[in-house]
Amino acid sequence: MEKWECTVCGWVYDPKEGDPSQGVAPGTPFEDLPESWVCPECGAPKSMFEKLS
Amino acid sequence: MGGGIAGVTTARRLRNLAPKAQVTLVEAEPRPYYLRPGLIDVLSGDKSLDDISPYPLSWYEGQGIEYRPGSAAVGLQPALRRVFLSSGEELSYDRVLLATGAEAFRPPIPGADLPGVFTLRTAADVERIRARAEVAHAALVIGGGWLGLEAARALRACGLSVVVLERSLWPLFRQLDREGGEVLKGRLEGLGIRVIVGTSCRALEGRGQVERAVLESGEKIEAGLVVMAAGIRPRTALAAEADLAVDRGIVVDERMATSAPGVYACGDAAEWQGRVYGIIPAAREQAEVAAANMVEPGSAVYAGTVVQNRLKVAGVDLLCLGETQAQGGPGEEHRLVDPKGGSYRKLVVRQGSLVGAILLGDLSGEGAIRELIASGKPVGGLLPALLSPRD
Repeated sequence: MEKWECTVCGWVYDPKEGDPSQGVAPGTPFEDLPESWVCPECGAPKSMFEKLS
Repeated sequence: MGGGIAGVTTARRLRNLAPKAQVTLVEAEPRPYYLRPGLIDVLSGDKSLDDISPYPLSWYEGQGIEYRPGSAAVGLQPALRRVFLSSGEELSYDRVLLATGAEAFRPPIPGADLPGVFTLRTAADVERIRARAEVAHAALVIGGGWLGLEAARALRACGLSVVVLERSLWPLFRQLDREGGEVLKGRLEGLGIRVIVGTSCRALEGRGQVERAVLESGEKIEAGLVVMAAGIRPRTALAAEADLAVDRGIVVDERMATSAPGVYACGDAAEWQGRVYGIIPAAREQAEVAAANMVEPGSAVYAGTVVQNRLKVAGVDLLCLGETQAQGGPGEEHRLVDPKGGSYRKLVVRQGSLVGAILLGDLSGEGAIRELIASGKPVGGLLPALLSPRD
């Protein structure tokens, strides 16, 4: 599963870890995050993330 | 009240929890919500304000949120359930959230009101600093915490010569220990940023505008642009005037309720258990709790926010875990200092177990270190490998 990086603050979403602070279970791919999910560090929405190559 | 991360998160959540409720978001700044950490990249010229503004005005409309930028709440009457706006309007409410945020602290230094002296908190601040950076050659940043160092890097990217002044003995004093601070200082100097520690600014001087700073040490620093990065102060005036309990911030309980019925607060303006976090994750988590309780009182409880221990400053990665003993302590300290490579690593061991670590510039081995700290297993012969994981 691919990691995605916030283009505003550089925080990296790692599907292995999920995002417990927003109730996202480990193992959740970025594509499956709800539209209401935001970057936990800066509040940027999903659309402001880029896939890490 | 307040359209920063705390207010926007609460409004979104209210919309989800109570689709039929009327939600109004009042924001003092005239432009739509932007992501504050992105302001540094706007200052450096790497991004525009639009790049860090996630929601156009149409987004609020789509969400069914009545958005009122450019007007501030200037009065609150909890007994009448009314707020008064700077526009002269009066709004009534069933529940109100005070998410009025914080403002930059301006140290009371003589000359701090001279043109060319700025704080760095809002989009308007960044526009003013950028305009000044076009005509100034030398900048001084007062404060060597995260924001000060990031501002220094951004101003350097604008082509100015930059000096950072930190009154503690090393930059990033709260997170780093002395040796790590030295390594960071070296890296900043490698970027062309001079870091002066252990002294503060006695006065800012200039004829009609700032031209130089006079330090307590007596040294004079030429600077046509000064940025004060000396922390934030919660905006509490509205709450205090309405006789709400206020300490450093607006005092809230674990439901984000203030001392007045129907009035909630969260984010940088709020103080919970004596703490004003001043960080986005806390604002967001508090906002979720506030929204739930505004819809259904008593339905959610806030239990504190885990402060992220990983940050990037001036392009350098920093990770602080467990007992870092930044100012010394009882544990054995094992260090690897690489001033040339600009990396630093400290492992703190107590009774044979790893209890804390600082990793600067090189985060390799992070996973193993996290696991050992969490498990408390004896670190034994692993120590050399953890100290220099690349060998």
